[in-house]
Amino acid sequence: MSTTASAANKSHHASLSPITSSPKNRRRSSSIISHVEVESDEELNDQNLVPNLNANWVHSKGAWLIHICIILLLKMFFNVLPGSTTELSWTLTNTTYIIGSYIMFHQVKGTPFDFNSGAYDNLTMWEQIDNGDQYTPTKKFLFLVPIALFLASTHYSKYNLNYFVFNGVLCLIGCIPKMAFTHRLRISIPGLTKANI
Amino acid sequence: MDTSNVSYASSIAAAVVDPERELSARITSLIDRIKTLPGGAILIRYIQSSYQDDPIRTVIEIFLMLFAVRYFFSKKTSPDSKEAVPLSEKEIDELCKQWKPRPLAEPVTEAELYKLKKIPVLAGAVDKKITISGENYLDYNRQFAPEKRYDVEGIECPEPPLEDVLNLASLDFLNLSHDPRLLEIAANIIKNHGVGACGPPGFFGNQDVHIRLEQRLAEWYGVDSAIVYGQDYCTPISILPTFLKRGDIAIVDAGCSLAIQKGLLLSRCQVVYFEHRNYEHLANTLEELQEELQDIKPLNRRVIVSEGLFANTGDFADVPKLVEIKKKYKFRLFLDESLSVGSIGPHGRGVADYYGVPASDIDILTGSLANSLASSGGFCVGEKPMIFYQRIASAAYCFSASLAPYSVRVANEVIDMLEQNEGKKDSPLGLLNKNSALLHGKFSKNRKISKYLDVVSESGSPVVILEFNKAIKNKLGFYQYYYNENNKTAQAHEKGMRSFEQSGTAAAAKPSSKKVSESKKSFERVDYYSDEAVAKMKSEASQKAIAESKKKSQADIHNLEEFLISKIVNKLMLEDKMLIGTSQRLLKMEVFRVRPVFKICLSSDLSTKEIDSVVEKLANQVAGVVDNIKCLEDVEKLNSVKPL
Repeated sequence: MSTTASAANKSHHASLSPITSSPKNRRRSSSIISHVEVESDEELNDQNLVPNLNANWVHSKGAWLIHICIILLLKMFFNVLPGSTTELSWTLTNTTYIIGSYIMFHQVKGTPFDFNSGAYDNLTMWEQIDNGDQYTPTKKFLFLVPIALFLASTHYSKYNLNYFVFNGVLCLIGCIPKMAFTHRLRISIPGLTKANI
Repeated sequence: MDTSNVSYASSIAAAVVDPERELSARITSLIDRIKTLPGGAILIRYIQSSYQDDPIRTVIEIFLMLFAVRYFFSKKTSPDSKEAVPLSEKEIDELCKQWKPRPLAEPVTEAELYKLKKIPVLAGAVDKKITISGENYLDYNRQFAPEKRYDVEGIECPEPPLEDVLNLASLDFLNLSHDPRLLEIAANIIKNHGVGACGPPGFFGNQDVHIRLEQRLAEWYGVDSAIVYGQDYCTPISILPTFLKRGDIAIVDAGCSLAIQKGLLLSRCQVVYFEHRNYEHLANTLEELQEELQDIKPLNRRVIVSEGLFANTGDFADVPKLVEIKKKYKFRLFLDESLSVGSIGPHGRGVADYYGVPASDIDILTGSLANSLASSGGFCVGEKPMIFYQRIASAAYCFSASLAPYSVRVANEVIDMLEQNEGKKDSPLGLLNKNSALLHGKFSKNRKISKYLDVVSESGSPVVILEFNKAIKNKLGFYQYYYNENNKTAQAHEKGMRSFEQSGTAAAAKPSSKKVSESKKSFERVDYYSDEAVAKMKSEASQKAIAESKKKSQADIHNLEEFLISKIVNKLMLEDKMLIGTSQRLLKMEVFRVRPVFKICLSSDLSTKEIDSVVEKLANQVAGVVDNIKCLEDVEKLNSVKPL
């Protein structure tokens, strides 16, 4: 009971205070790996104001189908490139899909719509999907796509060791950020990325 | 032993060879059997072709597949589920029974009751002379009166209305709301356009008159574009959150009005306050923020927020200084000219106009059509993209009904009138400026007034603001200012202001060569919101409370001071037939420091004689009330026993 009382008290202050969580985001740590802190009551309130249009569209069946369509189109495009071999076209398809989906799901933070006063600004799209729940149907589907793509590509082509290792690493890049233990995890490389979230 | 050994070994070899053959035979038969299954042939072909003479790759692929299968069959988990404590039905019921909701609004105490009762109800229109109905205000006073009024049938009847009261509490500074020409124009527009589409501007709400007024405002201010809102109070409340969100920063004058405070609260941006009209403090704050701001990527929005003519104190923002600072530090400037539009400046365009600063130097300039412009609604002028963004993203514009066409047309007409009468001394604006200078002069020179009251507002302001002077405040035990002791933000703000005041005076006492370094040192960033700072503040406050245990809380004394002011205003209305305004605040709702004040709103058609009598009568009433009071307890007695 005492914890709920203090939480209620906190939220009361938060609603009165014009200062929001921004000082918290300035947290600088020497560690390379850090976690995004859990939102304040005020931020959660803003997140729940309206449905999150940025994350909710991925649940529709068309959104699932479009992944397969894009992969097929990419494969067709790289097939007709002059001088393309089977191995090269599969590798290029794999590379394009993985990098594209990485940027979309794990690189860009926040939402393009301004309905929440920036309450999602610290979260990637993957973290916004299903409000951070893990192993939901959509997340399972999106997790299986890069693995299936890798298995298909090794099957239909005769990769040499370099191709195999390259595609294998790409597959890991596609999978690891989607796993439960990387939820809200940020890796900052000194000199390359900013230490603050 | 040897032979037996050899025979044993050979038997083992035979046993080893045999199972191997057996296994391969079994595998072949298994593969054949799988091939007969539906899809089995495809699976076998897949494994055969991906084997590619490299067992390690196959192992990796199988591992990957198992990994995928494991992920696929994992149960859904939620980040909140770890913290959630499972409760039984009974426990939930018990908790629900225990829960007592706090009231949405706290009940009005006996000592605060006058706040409700002092609000006068007008009978008839708001004009120079008004009639105050007996319904609310006078009824309250009458319950203390010795004799009650009864009509012929013996039924108690209300106090007769108070007629011919001089109105000094209206923000219609140019007194145009009853101009017959404007009334006729409004009537004509109602005949042609009706009373409005009742829709938001983007949804049938805007008619031709709205577009014309927007063009007219842009032309009048000499900027690209303008936008008209349905209500003036909502204008800053809606515009600030449109442009600011989390991660953005607003540097705000601590004297800003409620609309700006609420807008900033809604926007969720980081807010930093500087002392009211102290531009050295502003520059220092910005200097100190520079290092932090350089790191921010992507670039956030940075805005300096100020009012033109401050509604709470009646003084002007130094707009040229603000423009200089915002250009130096690459900030944007938000200026709310709600009170000053139509009442200040050679063209009547507000405080920026008064200082000769072009409106194009101010990034977001908002104003009200409801005060001097004798209409209703608010507006914002500035660059085209800034205005256009509001049309699709500003909540009050997108979702609130647009202004009625006759109000729009009247505002347009008043702007035309102001432009035609530019520089004329007998125009409403000229008369208003003359009156405000006159009244300010009278108040500052009058000895009787200066014995009791200080003039807070600046000369030229159409609202004259007065407060009790130091001597009276000390005598009666009032504070110089009040702040909300129970609010974290107000505490942090107060703490910051006190440390600035201390360091400011310390720096001023040092020789000038040391002043810069000294003052820079004192402006080191302190997080007044940190728990330690708040705890320190609390312990200090509690020590103070023990020391002054007999004294009342800030909120109580604030209430008493406001009561005393209300009493004087009430007497002035009943005995001298003059209605002036007061500040009316609930300290628990405030973030900034507050000072209870008298507000005298001028209008252009007051005669010199009337101005003289206002000063004289107010001085007499203040003297009459204050001279009979010795200490705080006397005020308290007045509040609990006697009418206003």
